[in-house]
Amino acid sequence: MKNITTIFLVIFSTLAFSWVGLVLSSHLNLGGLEPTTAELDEEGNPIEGDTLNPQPLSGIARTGKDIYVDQGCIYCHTQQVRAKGFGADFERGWGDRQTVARDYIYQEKVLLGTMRTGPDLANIGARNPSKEWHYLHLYDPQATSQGSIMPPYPYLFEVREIGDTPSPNALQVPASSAFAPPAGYEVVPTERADALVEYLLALKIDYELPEMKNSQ
Amino acid sequence: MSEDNKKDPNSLGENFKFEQASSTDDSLQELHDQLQREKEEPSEGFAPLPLFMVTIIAALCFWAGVEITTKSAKFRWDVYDPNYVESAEPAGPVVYDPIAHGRRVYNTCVACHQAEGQGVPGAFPPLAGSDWVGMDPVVLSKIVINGLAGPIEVNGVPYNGIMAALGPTLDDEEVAAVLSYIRQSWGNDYGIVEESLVASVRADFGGRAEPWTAEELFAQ
Amino acid sequence: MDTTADTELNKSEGVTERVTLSKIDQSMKWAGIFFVASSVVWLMIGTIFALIASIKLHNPNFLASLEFFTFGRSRSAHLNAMIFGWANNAAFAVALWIMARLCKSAVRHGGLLLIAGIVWNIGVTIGVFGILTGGLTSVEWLEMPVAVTPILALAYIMIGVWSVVAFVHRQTGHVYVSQWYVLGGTFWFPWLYVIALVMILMVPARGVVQPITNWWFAHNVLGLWLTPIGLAAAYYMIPKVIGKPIYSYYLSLMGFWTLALFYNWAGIHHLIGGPIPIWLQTAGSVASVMMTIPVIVTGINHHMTAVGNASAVWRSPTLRFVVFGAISYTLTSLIGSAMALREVNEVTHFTHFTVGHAHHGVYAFFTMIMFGSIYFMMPRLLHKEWPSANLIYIHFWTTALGITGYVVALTIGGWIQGIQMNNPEIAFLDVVQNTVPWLTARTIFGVCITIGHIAFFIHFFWMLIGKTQPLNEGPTLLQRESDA
Repeated sequence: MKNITTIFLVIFSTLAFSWVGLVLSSHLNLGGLEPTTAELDEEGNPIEGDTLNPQPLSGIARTGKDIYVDQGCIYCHTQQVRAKGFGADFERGWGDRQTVARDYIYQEKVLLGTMRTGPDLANIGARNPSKEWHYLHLYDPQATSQGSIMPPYPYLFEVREIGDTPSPNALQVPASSAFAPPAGYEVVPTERADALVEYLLALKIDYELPEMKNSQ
Repeated sequence: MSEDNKKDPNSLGENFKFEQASSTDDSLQELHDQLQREKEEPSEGFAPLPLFMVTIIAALCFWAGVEITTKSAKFRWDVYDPNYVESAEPAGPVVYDPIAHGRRVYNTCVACHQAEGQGVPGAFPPLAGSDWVGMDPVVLSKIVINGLAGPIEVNGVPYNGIMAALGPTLDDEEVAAVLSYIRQSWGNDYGIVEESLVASVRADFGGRAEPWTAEELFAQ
Repeated sequence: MDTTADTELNKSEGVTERVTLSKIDQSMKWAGIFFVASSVVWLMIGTIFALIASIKLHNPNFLASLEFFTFGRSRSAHLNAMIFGWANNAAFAVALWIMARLCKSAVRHGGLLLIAGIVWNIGVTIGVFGILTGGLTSVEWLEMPVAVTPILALAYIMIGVWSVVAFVHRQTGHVYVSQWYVLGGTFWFPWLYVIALVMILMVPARGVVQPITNWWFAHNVLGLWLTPIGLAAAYYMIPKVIGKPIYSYYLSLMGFWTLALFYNWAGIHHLIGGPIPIWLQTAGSVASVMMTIPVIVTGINHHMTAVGNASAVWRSPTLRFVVFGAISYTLTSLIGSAMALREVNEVTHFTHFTVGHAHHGVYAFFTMIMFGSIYFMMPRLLHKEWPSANLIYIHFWTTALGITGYVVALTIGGWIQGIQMNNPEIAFLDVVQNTVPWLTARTIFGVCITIGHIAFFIHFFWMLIGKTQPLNEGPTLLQRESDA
């Protein structure tokens, strides 16, 4: 290859080919997906009156998602469930069915992730709906999950002196925790922790779609 | 055969006046030496493609063709299963083994009550060997469906936390399965819980928004 | 294979060529020094964050109260410092220098190139600092805050254009394989970067189109930017130092074409089993396996050129590193192809196996070749020799053994992790606990690599700042000829 035109043609056409084949065609075919009902009527339209899924996040959960993003949770947690029979996602209770393209249409940033240093979180809101657990787990993961290698997030909480009465939202930190507050002090979540937990609880794949039913 | 085939610094003589004008004689000499021991700029031989490579390429192309034709579901955008068959009949209902199924549902409980039902001292009560697990299945169903809050005592140890309501997450069949699993695991040995019993509890108390307290449960 | 005879025959031709090369080296001097110096500084910064992140994985309470260093941020700062700081700066220096030499075209207005380089490094600095202070985007390989990305894109184009200018003004008839690769990389990277930025961060596409674009981009940064530059450098250094033509033009040609065709489609293998249509997954898997063609072809080409010159490879610091890199390229690519098979991916996906593989590619292949190229290039830019053979020894052995141990540890540990994660009988926390010994081993090998980087850092700045030594003592080699 001596000719500059030939070289540029190779360089240009190979990348253009993959871009059209992978990115543009996905955009044209999947970029227009809309929420729908679990079953469709005879004409293939959503059934009127049934719930449309997926649903967008609430305002606080969105703020929580920003914290999930800027802390980099995605580098240890996926948000995708593989099909039953491919890995043990189903058996581990990470979801009742495989996640599909339509599940992600309302996410302004799609956080599929590629690492499972920790478990999948696609369905964490349904799998573990305990707010209290999530707070304690974020404050000191080893307090709830002994042997966990998740980093603690003490800076999302405030350790303060107990006032006249203990705050209603104070954490029940076991005395054995490395981050247990000194006597007379309590641990309360900051707004960021509240938002993050709100987001985690909003992560649910608890509905069916026409193209993907729950696995049996 | 090495980088440092040294040449006689003077053998190039006059040619080096073409070097940078700024170079002094000394640096010119040094430059000369460094460049001289460098080999020629790379060039190419013209050996043909080895025959075994042709074979490998042919085999790979054949494999790629088979793979793409058999595992692409006719390039449909709504199929996720590599073994998708157009006319497949939907699978019939599956009969559950309640214990095996309960084991999977227990993934909802494992974060607090832990893999062996041992709980977390000071935060979450145990299920293994717990005096609560043998209680009336109606009470247990109520706890799972509506949650439990406030001070309790398990095996004589006080706890004060909140258990979230799982009624919205788990259906009757799943509640029955997970209770049965808990009642027959880690040394617990109590009877299994029927789905119909859970259904009747849900019918009576499913609309309740607040978690139960120990007082309420035992007052009844 | 005595090139002395050739040189005697074509003495006048050889002399003219060397005069040209000397002018080209001079024209690249300041830009080249700047790029390499920045890359070496970024290498150290990236190494520090790598160690912090690695320690946190088996000692999660380490630095836990500092948000600045939390795992997600340290790890992303490490990746971006290494890719955009170390790898890109080194690639700019080596690629532009090789391109200018092969085109026999000196860099004109080198000052502009230097300015572009400064802009690039300012961009990377802001970007890495942004990641650490809350601007992390959590889009893999595009972690920097969106605001700095136009600076990087612009600086890249200002730098990349020099390879095109050199090519257009080339004084040679023949176009050597390294030139195709440099041109390819130079064009592919900005295109990928800009499209990914727009479709993921600026005007986000809907739903899973984002991860599809993300992995098309991220894998192609490796495949269509770092790989071409690494291969261009290997294709230049191996025949250059040995003094023998590359084995086969036809193999070079085939390797380039098939790489361009298949690598483009391979990135989707990061989404196997994910929420994307099966045909896309199959396409990614097939393209990844087809990558064995360019890999074997390139491997044969390099091997047949170097074969029979073992002592030259062993003595020359440049070739030791470059040949280590070239062998790693073959290995890591073949492992990568295997990982894209659905059956293997089911185990390795989401585990530390993938992390080991990524380091096998970016470090054992690309970084080692860059080290080798810098060992060859710097004496020519500075008209000095490397001051210490011992520091090169330390650098080579710590990094070569360190990265080998690192990859082996994460490959075994990751495989076990994958097998156990797919067995629901094993509690998830036990799976996590079983990775800890391997993650600890990773830190130990990381410390080993760090020692090598410190040696390289000291050596580079010693050479840069130190007094000029007489050159006619010959190059700094790793073994005397008599020992060989």
